[in-house]
Amino acid sequence: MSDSPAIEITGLRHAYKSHVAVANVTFNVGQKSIHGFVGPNGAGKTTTLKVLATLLAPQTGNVRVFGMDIVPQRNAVRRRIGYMPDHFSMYRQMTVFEYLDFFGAAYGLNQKQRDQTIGDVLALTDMAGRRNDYIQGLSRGMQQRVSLARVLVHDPDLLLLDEPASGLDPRARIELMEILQELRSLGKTIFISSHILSELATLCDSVTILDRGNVKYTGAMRGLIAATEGDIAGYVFTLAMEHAALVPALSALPGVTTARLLEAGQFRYSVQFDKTTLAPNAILHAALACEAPIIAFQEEVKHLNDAFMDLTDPGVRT
Amino acid sequence: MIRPIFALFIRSLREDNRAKFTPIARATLVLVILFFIAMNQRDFARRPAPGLQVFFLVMVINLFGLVIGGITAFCSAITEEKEDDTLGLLRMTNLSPVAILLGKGTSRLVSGMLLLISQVPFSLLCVTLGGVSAAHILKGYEVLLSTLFLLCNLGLLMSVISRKTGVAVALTVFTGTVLYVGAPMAYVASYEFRSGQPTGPMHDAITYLIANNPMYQLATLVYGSPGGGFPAYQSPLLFHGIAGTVCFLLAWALFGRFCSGTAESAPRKKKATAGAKLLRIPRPGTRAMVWKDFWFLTGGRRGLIARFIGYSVLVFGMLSLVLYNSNYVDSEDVGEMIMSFAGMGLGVELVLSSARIFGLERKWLTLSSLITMPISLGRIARHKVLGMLGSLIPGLCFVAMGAAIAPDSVRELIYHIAENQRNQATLFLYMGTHLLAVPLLTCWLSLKMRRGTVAAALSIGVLWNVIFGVLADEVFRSSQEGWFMFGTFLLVVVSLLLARGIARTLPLAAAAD
Repeated sequence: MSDSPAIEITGLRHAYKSHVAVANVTFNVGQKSIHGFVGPNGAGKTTTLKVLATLLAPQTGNVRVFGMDIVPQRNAVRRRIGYMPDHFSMYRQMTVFEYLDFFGAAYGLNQKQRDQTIGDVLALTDMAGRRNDYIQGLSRGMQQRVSLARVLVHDPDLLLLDEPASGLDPRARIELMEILQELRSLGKTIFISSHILSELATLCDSVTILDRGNVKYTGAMRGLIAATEGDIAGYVFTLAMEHAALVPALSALPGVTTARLLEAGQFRYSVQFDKTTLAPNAILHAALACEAPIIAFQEEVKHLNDAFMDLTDPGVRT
Repeated sequence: MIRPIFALFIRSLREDNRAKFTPIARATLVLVILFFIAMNQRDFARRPAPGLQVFFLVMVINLFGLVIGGITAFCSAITEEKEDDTLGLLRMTNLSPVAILLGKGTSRLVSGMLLLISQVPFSLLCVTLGGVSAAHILKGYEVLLSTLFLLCNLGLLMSVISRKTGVAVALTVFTGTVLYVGAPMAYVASYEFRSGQPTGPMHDAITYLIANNPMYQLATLVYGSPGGGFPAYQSPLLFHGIAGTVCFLLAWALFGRFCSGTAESAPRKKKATAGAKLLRIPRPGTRAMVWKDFWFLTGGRRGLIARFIGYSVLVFGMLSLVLYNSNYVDSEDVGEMIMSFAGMGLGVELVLSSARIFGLERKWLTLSSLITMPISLGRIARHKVLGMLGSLIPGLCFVAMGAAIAPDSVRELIYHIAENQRNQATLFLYMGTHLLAVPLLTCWLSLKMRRGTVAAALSIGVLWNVIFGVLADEVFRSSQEGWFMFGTFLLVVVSLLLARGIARTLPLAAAAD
């Protein structure tokens, strides 16, 4: 396997008539990693995934998978990817084994290879006991497992999963994430889209956040919060009782952007300030100077969801 | 109850209003009427009452379109909700069963009625050609509208009791055939009718059904009753009105029983049954796509057996009916009849198979999985066609059987085509090209439309041939041979364009999954 990134997208743009689904997308995904692809509904995730899956040709820009251009080397790319769409794409009148056997044969595996691979993928997805069940009788979670098994049957290096956890119950979601972690340990690169960032927080090594067809963040998961903070720091005061003088005293400091009461009943106050011009000590000093009954003074913990909300714009995507 | 009914009705009218197809269909029908009138304008001197003939042609085309399009539209009224798993959602709302039936049924009925009513002012122009009065024309539309009413409610009933649209269509076609085709056939086959002997209640029933057959009503309206025991023209309103209302009431009564829920079945396992070895599905080989389509789209060996039985019933049923009624039939006649009936079945099967090749993959949302395999589009198409060809084997066997029984007829046909009559040869070639063009058209439409592919393809095919035939008869009468050659060439070009269109549309349809 070459050292090229599993996915390289440069300046991708795709429009459906006048509607621009993907405006300008550029990011890379390293090999043998799990990369989250997150964005609100209508952000352009599925269109990007369809381009990667060679279903749509990029209108502008360059898309490479393991160093191969997806347009001229489409068939070579298809051998190395496994695409799972965001809907059930199955022959429901087949049994689980017949379904996997068909895809194995279509990918050119001989009968012996198929027997071996199907056994492996059914064991991995915990569906070995269901091999002779008809797909139409399986629950949603089980059908999702069969879909995943289908994607794995030709042993692809890159899995493109479009919202695989949507519609699954919490247990099925957790089990799916466990299977994906196991696949990473087997050396697969996994590109997984979702509109729920927290779902991917513990799973992914890196993430790309897309909004209205543009990349808002791409990089390591742990760098996401730092990236959204910038020069602004946030601290929270917890007081013993309400203290009306605190907000004016903090607001008067140069570099403070906002100072406000967070929760009235619990006497919590938030202050945001430019950390290049103001130190947290100065904030604390100002609060003590106005004789606020301080119980606690701590840095505001930013969650992934907050970062996501900061990065994406409000409003309905069309 | 009125408000929910109107909610569904208005939703359907809005959809109808937004649909691109509706104005195109209305405009096409109007243009066809104007075309026929223009073609017959110069025939005042040559033909008696050309207006009557144009009017009859327009009525027959309408009836054909109404039956084909109506069956597709009405039979999917409730089954489409069942197939999309949205019937449960509808039932959770304030809608009662009768509101759902009225909302879903009447909207389609109104669409059909508007399609017919929009033609009336243009059809009235036939009066200017002579031979037909405005009263004739209005009565003709009365026949069509009342047939539409019955068809709507029959389709609705079958849609209620069926799980899938295909089953509802099959049941409606079967009932319609018994109602409209069965009676005339029984009439022809009945010795009593031929000998003019006194008859009983069966005779009355058959006569009543024939009198209410829309085709017969149109014919008697235009040309008068044939006499000799055949009934005269009757108003269609009573029979169609009562039959349609009965169908609606039955649909209402059975709604709760057949539409109460779509309970998921527990996981089913394969069971070994008697004869399992014969019907067992083998493992796929190198042609996996052929394997899949043969075993899972056409039904595999089970499907072949069912088709052999179906063809046997069709061919031998029709044959016994004819033999019962004839004094002398030789083996050549029998062979010709087997070839004809099996050929008709084969034609229907060919169109249905063409609609299913990619139509079912679209319905199951599996096109994207197929397209992302490292196989060329050409290979996918070839293998899918090969897989579907299996379904044509029984029909071909019956045609071959007919040819074996009637070798002289086949020899004579070949002789005529090859040696004797070039005119027949060009006509035969023109008709043969349809075997290429119509399946390709159906296949292409199946990538563009979700429902009604077969109806649309057949309607386009019939319309094309009616216009082509009229032009052959009216304009190119002296050079029909050249005209049919031109038609063949045109159909080949259209087929090539359709094949190209399929290759272009397939990836787009897969991406749109």
